Order: sequence, then C-alpha cells, then structure tokens
Amino acid sequence: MTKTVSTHEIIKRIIALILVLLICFSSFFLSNAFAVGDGTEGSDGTGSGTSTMTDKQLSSIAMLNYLTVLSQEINASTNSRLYLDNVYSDIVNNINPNAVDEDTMTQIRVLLNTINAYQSIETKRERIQYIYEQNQANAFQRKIPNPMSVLSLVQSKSPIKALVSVIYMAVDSSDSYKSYLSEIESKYIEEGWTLEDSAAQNLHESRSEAFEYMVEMCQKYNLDGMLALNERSVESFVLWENNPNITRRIEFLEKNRNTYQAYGKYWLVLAESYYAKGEYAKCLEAVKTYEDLHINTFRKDHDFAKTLSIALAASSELFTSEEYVSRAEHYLQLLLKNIETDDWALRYLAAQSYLDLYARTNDRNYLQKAYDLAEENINYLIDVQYQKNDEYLSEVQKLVAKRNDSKQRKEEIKTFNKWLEEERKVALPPVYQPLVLNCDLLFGLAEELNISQNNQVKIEEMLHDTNRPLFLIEQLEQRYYFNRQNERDYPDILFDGTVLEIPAVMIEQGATIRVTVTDGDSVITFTDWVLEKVDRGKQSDPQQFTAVFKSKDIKSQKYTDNSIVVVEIVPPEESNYEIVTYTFEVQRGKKLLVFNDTKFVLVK
Amino acid sequence: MKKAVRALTILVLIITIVSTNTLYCFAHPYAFQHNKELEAVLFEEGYSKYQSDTIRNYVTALEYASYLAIDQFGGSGEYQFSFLKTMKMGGLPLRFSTIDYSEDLMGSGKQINANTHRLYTHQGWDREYENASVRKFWDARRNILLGTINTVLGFSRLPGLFGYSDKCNSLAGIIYYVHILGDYIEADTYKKVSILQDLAGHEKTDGNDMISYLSQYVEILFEDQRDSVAYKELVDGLEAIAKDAGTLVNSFGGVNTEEEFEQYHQCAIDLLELLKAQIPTLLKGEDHFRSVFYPNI
Repeated sequence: MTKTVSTHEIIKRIIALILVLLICFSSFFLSNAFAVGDGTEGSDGTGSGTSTMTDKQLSSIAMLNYLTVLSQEINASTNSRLYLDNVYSDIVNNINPNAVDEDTMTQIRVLLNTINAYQSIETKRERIQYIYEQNQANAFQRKIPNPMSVLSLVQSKSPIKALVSVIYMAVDSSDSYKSYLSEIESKYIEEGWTLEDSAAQNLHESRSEAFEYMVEMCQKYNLDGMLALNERSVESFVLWENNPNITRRIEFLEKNRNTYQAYGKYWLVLAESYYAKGEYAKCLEAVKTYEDLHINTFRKDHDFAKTLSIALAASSELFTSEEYVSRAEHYLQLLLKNIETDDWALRYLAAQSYLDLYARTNDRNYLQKAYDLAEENINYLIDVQYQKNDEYLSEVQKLVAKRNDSKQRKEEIKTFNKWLEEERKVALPPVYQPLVLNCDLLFGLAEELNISQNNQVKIEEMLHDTNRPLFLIEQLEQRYYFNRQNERDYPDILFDGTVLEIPAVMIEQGATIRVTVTDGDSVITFTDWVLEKVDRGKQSDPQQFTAVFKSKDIKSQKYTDNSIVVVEIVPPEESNYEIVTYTFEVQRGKKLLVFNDTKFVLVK
Repeated sequence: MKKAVRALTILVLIITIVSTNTLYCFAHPYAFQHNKELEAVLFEEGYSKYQSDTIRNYVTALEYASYLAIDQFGGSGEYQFSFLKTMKMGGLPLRFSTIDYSEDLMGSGKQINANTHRLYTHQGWDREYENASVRKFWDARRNILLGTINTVLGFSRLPGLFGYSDKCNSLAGIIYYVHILGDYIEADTYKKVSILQDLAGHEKTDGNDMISYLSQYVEILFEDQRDSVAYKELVDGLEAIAKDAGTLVNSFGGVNTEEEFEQYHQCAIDLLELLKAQIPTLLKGEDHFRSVFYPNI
C-alpha cells in the first residue's frame, strides 16, 4: 500500500531544501573572507605545488612569513622593546627589493613601519647596542683569553663550540648586558625594555593585516596555500621556539614539519635545537635543507650566518679533521657571504675558525684568511672607537622631545637625559672592547705570519692617526705598535691618605684599584675604592681629566714614616695589558710647627 | 490549505531576506574594502596606521564616519556611531536614530534595503536636495564626516559657530568620492552605477559630476601646492579621465552598451589609481594632515 504524501509535507520539504541551498550559497561567500584550516591558508589546501609559482611569489610569501613570525617574537619576548630594537635594525635595510613583488613590498613596509614606530629613541638604542657589544667582546675574551691559543699543542678541541654560545647571546636578556656596566648604566639600562600593551596590540593587528594579504595573494594567484602561515601557526611556532625543554621543542617541530617546511626559519630553529641536544648529524641535515630552499629574500641572511656557526661546531664534533676541513670551508664561505661590515662577532668567529683550520692543516693560507678578517674588523671598529671618544669629549647632547611625541616617548626622553647627566659626572674614557679583542688577534696573527715591514707600517697607520689618539686610555694607546718609538711615561697620580686622584686616561671602566700599605711586617690591602667623580674642570683635553676615588676602609689607616703605599691600577679581568703601579713614601712632619702633616710622595 | 499558504508565505519571506543579504554581498562586499581604498588614497604606500593608538583610532574614525555618512542603512552602524561618540568626534547628533536610514525619506513607509540605500547618499557630496526632509537628512549625514575630519585635523575650533572650513569640506568630498569610486569599480553592469553620480560629462552644463567636484576640492585643499609635481599630475590626470568619461556619458543614449560600460568602468579604475598615486603626497604636504599622521616628520 503506497503512502500518499500530503501537500503540507511537500511544502515543508521544499522549504527545507531551499533553506539548505541558501545556507550553502551564503557559506561560499563567507569562506572567502575568513580563515579556515589547521595551520595554513589556501584555496583548497592541496594546491598545485611550488613548481608553478614564480620565484617572486615564493619569496614574497617567505618574506611575509618571516615578518609575521618576527612580529610575534617581539610580542612574546620578555623585553619586547629591546628585542624589537635589535631585529628591526637587522632587517630594515636588508630586504632584497628584487625578490618580492610591489604589492608585497607595500605590505612589508606597513609591517616594518609599525615596528619602527615603537623603537626606542635612536641614541638610546645605540647606547644599549654598545653595551651588548661590550658584553659580547668580554664573553669572547673569557672563552678564549689568548686569541692565538688554538695554535697551542695542548688545544685538542675546536674553539668554535665555545664561541657559538657568544654568538647566540640573547639580545633581549638582561644577562647579556650585565657585565661591564658602570653603576649609572646599571641603574638605567633596564628602563623601557618592554613595549606597552597597546603597542603589542598594534603589532598584532598589523600582523593580522599581513595574514589577510597572504590569503588574498594565495587566492588571487592560485598559489599553494600551504606556504603561507596564519596567526595560529605563527603563535605556536614562537611559543615552541622559546620553550626551554629542547626535547619537547624538537618533538613539536618534527611533528609539525608539514605546516612549517616551506618556512625557512623553521629549519634554522630545528638545526639549533638538534645542536643543543647534541644530535649533530640531524643538525647538519636541517642546515642543508635550509640551504637547499635557496631563500633570497634578504641581501644578507643573518639568521643563516648565525646558524652556520653551529654547523661549524657540529661538524667539528662529527667528522675527522680531513672531512671537517672541506665542510668548514664551505660553511665559512657561506657565512662570510651573509654578514655585513658591522657583523664583527661572526667575522671574529670566522677568523678563529680559519686559525683552527691552520692548526689542523698547517696551510698558511688559512692563517692569512684569519689575518685578513681581523684586519677587516679593525678597519670598521676603529670608527666606532673614534665616535665614542668624540661623544666622551663633547658636551652632553640632551634630547629634545617634539610637541607631537607621545607621553611615553616624552617620558623616555626625560629618563634618558637624566641617564646622560648622571653618567657624565663619573664617565671614564670609553674603550670599545670589540676593537681591543680584534687588535689582540691581529697582532697575534701578525707575529705568527711574520708580516712584512710594510704591512706593519700599514697597521700602525690604520690604528694611529697623527692627529688624535685611538684609545684615550694610555695603556691601550701605547700597546698596539710593532716598533714603538718614543715611549712616554704614564702620568702621575695623587694620593693624600684617603683619596686617590688618578688621571682619567689611566683607568677604564671595569678597572679596579688596589692599595697596599706596608709598614714593617704589617701589610694591608684596600680594595673598596669607589669612583666618586671625574673632574673635567674647564678642559676639553682628556689628559687633564681627573678621576677621584675614595675608600671607606682606608680612613682608619694610620701611617708612619716607614709606611710604603703601593697603588695598583688593575685592568678589567679580560684585558691583556699590564697593571700599572705607583709607589708612595710617607713623610710625616709638622705644619706651622704645630699640626701633624702627612705627605705622600710619589717615588719615580 | 491555510497552513499551506502560511508555509509558502514564510518561504517567500525567507527567500526575500536571504536574497537581499546575498545581493548586498555583491555590492562592494565588505566595508573593509572601502576602508582599504580610503587608506590607499589618504596615505603613502607602506604607511602603518598601527604606529600609535592615536593614529589607529583616527583612521578608524574616518572610516566609520565615511561609512555612516554614505553607506549606513537599516539600523546597522550603531557600534561605529558609539565609537565616534567615545572618541569625541564632532558633528554627531544626539541619537543614532537621527542618521539611521531605514525608511524612505519621502514618507512612503517603504523600508530601505541594499538596492535602495544609495538613493539620497550617493548623488554627490555637495548635492543640494530640494525636498526639506532629504536636505535635513543629508546635512546630518554630512556633518558626521565633516565633524570627524574637523576633530581629527583641527581645521576650525568652533565649527558650530563658523561652520566647517572649505578645506575640511574639500577633504570630506574627496573621501566621499573614494567611496563612490569603490562602488563604481565593484559594479559589473551599468545598471549598478546608474544611480551614482556620473564620473564626468557635466562640466559644461550644471557641473554635477564627480570629476568637476573633485577638481574643485583639489584646488581648495591643496592651494599652497599648486606648483608641485604631484598637484600638476593630479590635475592633468583628472582632465584626461574627465575627457574620456565625459565622451561616454554624453554619447548617444549615454553608457548603454557592454563595450561602453567596460570603458567607463576603466575610467573609474583609472581615477581611483590617480587619486592613490597623488593624493597621499599632497596630503603629506599639508600641515594639518602631516602633524597628525606623520608626527615624526
């Protein structure tokens, strides 16, 4: 018996069918605007593969992926403004304009302009960068106190592994700025290292626009959507990139290879993670994969250059000397191709690597390469030292806030000006440690190479301009000569029993004072000397600046006619120049025949 | 039977509602596309509106004011209205209902929809309507955009007393026509632009076309930059496009063939590209604009 369907039922079914069709129809439009997917965007997720994409399209997406991750890394950093300052300066002039299309370049500029707006004021950025470099140079010196030590027969391990940790000193960690700080610097250094919430939010929104753009780009050109990251995948990546548990980090990266495999930095982070875990073979595989991606969105690929230092270290662990040499040459070539003039740290590491190759092969060409790199570094670093000297000798250049500056910016300027004022009262002549580090290496290499007289003259002419000293610190200014003529005596110091007046040109930041009072069998050493001020008077000649040191402990010291006072100016721990010693004899007498008068006479 | 009729009526209503919303999707589909075009005309390439909270909020305010003045209808836009109020933008009425375009202004009682919302809002920025209700409505709408621009850029301190300056009105006009151009570009048939003000072709008659007005606004707003390259290129470009578009508008029967519509459509695209190419530089050269949106220069 057939069942008759009522008219009512027919109408209901028609209504339901039409509703379903309309819902499907509307969804088609909605899906074009909103992201769907588990990690990447695209029209259908399968795409036709990268082979149909032009190089520019590939590079454009690669660049946008890089910038969106960078923007998230900024937000995720504990010291987000500090991180932002560093990364912006690294990339702003480094984008290869030929590698991306015009529309993408516009989008890139939007992201970069957003990041730029939140940078610290320029002079403050430069100051913090300087402090980081001082710390970095000191760290190199601590790892390899003698820059030529790799040639020592005792040295059996590659020095590169020790140096890699210095290359990877975090730019946004306070630990990277702690040593080599004056008291004033310590007080101000960590001000304003974090972005305000609103700034972080604006970075986030700017990044969201970039994702929208990538979606449009993938759809417009029918590109493989798997190549473009989205907010979720970027957030995950940065979260895991910063995870201190290396095993878990590797687990995440390996399991999510499909999501990130077209994103270059994924392979670098993977390589770094394998290295940290001691999985050197896998580390090198990851580096090779990155190399094979042929990413050319940067003029110089700094991230890759850094990772190559790890590749060098990993290779030294894995291979015999012979096999290591050919690999090291390849990595060094790539590394040097991807660094700028001011990448002195990586160039220093490269010089040490060539020195290591010389130690393994006795091939003097490697020695020459190391020398050339040290010379190149010095030629750049000299100007930084001169600039620091000029700043030191000039009046304090305070910043002036503009009328339209934000409240935060005005506060930042006010605080920075206070920093400058306070610091000037106790400022000692600057010593640019990266220059000292490279001078020590260069002179060591020069001796090993037994360079010609002409080359010696060339180096001395580079370092010693007739019109002005390179180092304002006497011990350093007199140090870097092959054949020093007319050595001059160090200037005198004054001591009155409790206060030391030392010419500022004799003492750099980080140096310490040691005063030993000997009286018969009694020997007492006083080390609590504190710099109270640097008196410049009305002079602009640094030779006339006087650093005044005081000690609380020495106030109770009693002197006799037999007392001998030895004052030692001890250079900073990582320095290679000598301690300067002054000896004082005590002469006790009467002033106006009544009052005790104790004089401290410098023994020459 | 009664149930069947009721069911069919419901069906027809559902189809009508969903269709009109779907149709709306075919006009410049989302406000953000109008916003993107506006940003591209106001700011140079690569400009980031996220460089400070102030700038981001001002850009948003201009976009919302543009939307409320030109495209709002049917009760939508209360959020945007509240935002402008919160930002203390000038020119806003006390109540949202004053500017809500939900019913036909002629008093027929018909509800305004996506097909009819352009009638009194897309006819020209300085259009003077004869009908008092329409005139009152359009004045209130204009004030939203004028008031917002004036607050953001600080053209005059007491607009309530002295009115909005010519420069303020000119910038508002340019912003208005960027929106209209967006609608032109999105259209795929002449019917969809027939209700919009003509691009050109009236300069010798009543002057009631887009490029005639744009030329006036450019002359007023950038009077101090008449010797600049950007200004000359803009004026020359406007003349060239006006000539092509005007020829089509004044052809026999107007723009009434597919081929003519394609050419006319291209004129709209060219006009928007011209504005994008030259206006940002000229605006950056204006003190009021630069001090707000390029504070570091």
